[in-house]
Amino acid sequence: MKKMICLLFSAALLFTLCIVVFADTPLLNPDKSDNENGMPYWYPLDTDGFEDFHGEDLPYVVDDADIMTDAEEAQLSAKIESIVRKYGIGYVAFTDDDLHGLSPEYYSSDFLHFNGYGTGDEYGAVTFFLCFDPGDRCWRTTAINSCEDYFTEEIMYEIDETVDSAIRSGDYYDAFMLHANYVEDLFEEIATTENWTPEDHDFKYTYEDEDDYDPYYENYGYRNGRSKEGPSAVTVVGAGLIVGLIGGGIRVASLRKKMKINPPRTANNYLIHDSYFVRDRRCDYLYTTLTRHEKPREPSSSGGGGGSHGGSSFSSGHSSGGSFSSGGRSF
Amino acid sequence: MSERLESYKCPSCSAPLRYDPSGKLVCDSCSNEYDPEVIELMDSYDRQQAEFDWGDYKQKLAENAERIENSVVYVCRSCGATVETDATTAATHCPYCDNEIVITDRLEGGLKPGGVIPFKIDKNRAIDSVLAHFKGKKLLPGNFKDRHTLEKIRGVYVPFWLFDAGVDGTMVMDATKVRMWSDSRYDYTETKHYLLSVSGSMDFAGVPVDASTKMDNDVMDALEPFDYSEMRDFDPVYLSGFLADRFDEDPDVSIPRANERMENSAESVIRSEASDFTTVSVRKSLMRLTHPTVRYVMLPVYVLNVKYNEKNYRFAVNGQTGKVVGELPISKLKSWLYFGGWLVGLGAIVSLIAYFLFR
Ligand SMILES: [Zn+2]
Ligand SMILES: [Zn+2]
Repeated sequence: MKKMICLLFSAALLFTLCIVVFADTPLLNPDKSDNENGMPYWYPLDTDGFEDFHGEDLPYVVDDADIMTDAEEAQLSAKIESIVRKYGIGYVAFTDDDLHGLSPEYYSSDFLHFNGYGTGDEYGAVTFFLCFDPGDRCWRTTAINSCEDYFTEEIMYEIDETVDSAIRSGDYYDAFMLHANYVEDLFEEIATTENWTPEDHDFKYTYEDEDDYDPYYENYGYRNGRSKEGPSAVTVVGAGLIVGLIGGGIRVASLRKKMKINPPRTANNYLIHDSYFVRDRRCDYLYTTLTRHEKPREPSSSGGGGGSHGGSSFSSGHSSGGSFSSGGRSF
Repeated sequence: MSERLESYKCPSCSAPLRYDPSGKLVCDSCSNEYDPEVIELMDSYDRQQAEFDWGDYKQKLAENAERIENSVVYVCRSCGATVETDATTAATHCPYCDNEIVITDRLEGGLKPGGVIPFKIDKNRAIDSVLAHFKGKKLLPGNFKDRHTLEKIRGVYVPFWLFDAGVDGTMVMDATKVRMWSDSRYDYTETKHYLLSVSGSMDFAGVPVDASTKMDNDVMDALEPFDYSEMRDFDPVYLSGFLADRFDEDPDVSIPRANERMENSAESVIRSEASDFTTVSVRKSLMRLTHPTVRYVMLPVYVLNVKYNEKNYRFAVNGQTGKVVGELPISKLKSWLYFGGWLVGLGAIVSLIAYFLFR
């Protein structure tokens, strides 16, 4: 009984915390300087225990790389707003010129999660992200939660083919409009087809170069609902057992050690201290080794096949903000 | 010269090195370059061997050999121990195995030691020390203290070799400096490797190794330190009320033990010269001994044997400081109880924390 009250209380506390922290969208704040962790202004200071929420008064265009005119932004915003209202999904056009050390798919996924773009019970949302980071100029269509299931690699490929030439010729506004039209058509199709699956889609482009696929994709199918449970009882008790085993083992080992003899292995007690002197000390440089390891927080984005056009990439995974699927190309 | 150079191996990857017209030694395998002088130095170190030579100490000991006079010699028929004491002291039981010992007149007195540290604490204090040693030993079987008779504790002069020498030469070390940094994508680790050689000297005085096969070397080492300033010239009067063991372990057997300890100490002292490196490991110790001497002395030790579960447990008490050394029997039941208690308690706490943190 006590445990139940405890659980309810902490759940309520977490919930209010979420509301207090995330209710006001930082996207409307004119100050866009990085937060104290060196992450973007919309990034939470603490991502532990983050849960999806419904953001309020969210903009439909967040042009942080500032590549569109105000007029273009207004037109694109109106277009996206009509899609969002009609189909009830979260959709936003997003640009930035700094990935803050994250991969583009994680960055755009975090953008959706942390700003509360998800809609409905399952917090589905999708963004078209144009990245102008000098180290990684690329675009990504990134979908989270229930929207992940619609944006399969074949769909992503079709989107990429649709927007490719516009982006490469610098017509970014056109690319966004093309993307919005594609998304609108796709959701129209989903809304009017009973039990729509990506196989129902009439593909205009077929992706053939299968070697380019992220192997992760193989296991990534059309799913209904996702489990979002905490650790199972087995995990919790297992973790406790392992720590208990180790702790008990160390304790008994230290007690047993007290029962043994520990003879000295040095003659330090018999060293005449004033007697020590150094005649010569010589140090010669030999060689240097340099190793580098990818940071664990940032999973590798499959770079694709190289070449001047860059490759496509598609990945799905979990970031601090939750799961996503994402695809796009470099430019 | 070039032939020799060709035979060198790369310190980084062990591939053969090639002499390059640029004057460097080049590794084609890992593309590192080396100064030939350094590689040659390294090679010369690797080919040298140093050994601690204790000289003609045996001859010196034999020249000065004198026997202990007017002592009574006892022999244990059970374990073969030979101990002696003065005529006024009655000895009945072997200090090492507790069996009866008998007087023999077939043996003369043992080798007179070059020095002796007399017993400083009496039997009662030795017993108190043993009792204090048992305190806080949580795995000690509950009935252990009842079963033994601490009264059986006996004072024995244990023969020791003391090794005095200077250690002089060069310690060759593989040293590294590690630098780490990160950018947005990677963590980098840079390790610079150096050949470090430090030449110097230091003196050791009185590194002790027990000279009796009856006494466990580990136990005797753990009994240290003894205060040598209380060392006296041997006088039979010190034997009164105590037994004296005689050496039956050749110094040749004891020498590696002393060498190892001196080498470890020299190493740790010289390592302090390399405190500006991240890691240091000794590649070669090219130290040798200067002015080595070996002394034969007797040091005061109380010995107690306790039987538990058919196994003999021996305790030794430093007769000068009261320090107690001895392996203690471990209660299996108590071990399992402690382990189980920690397992359940810690496991429950961690499970609860995990549950609330990650739910
Ligand atoms: Zn090499
Ligand atoms: Zn005996």
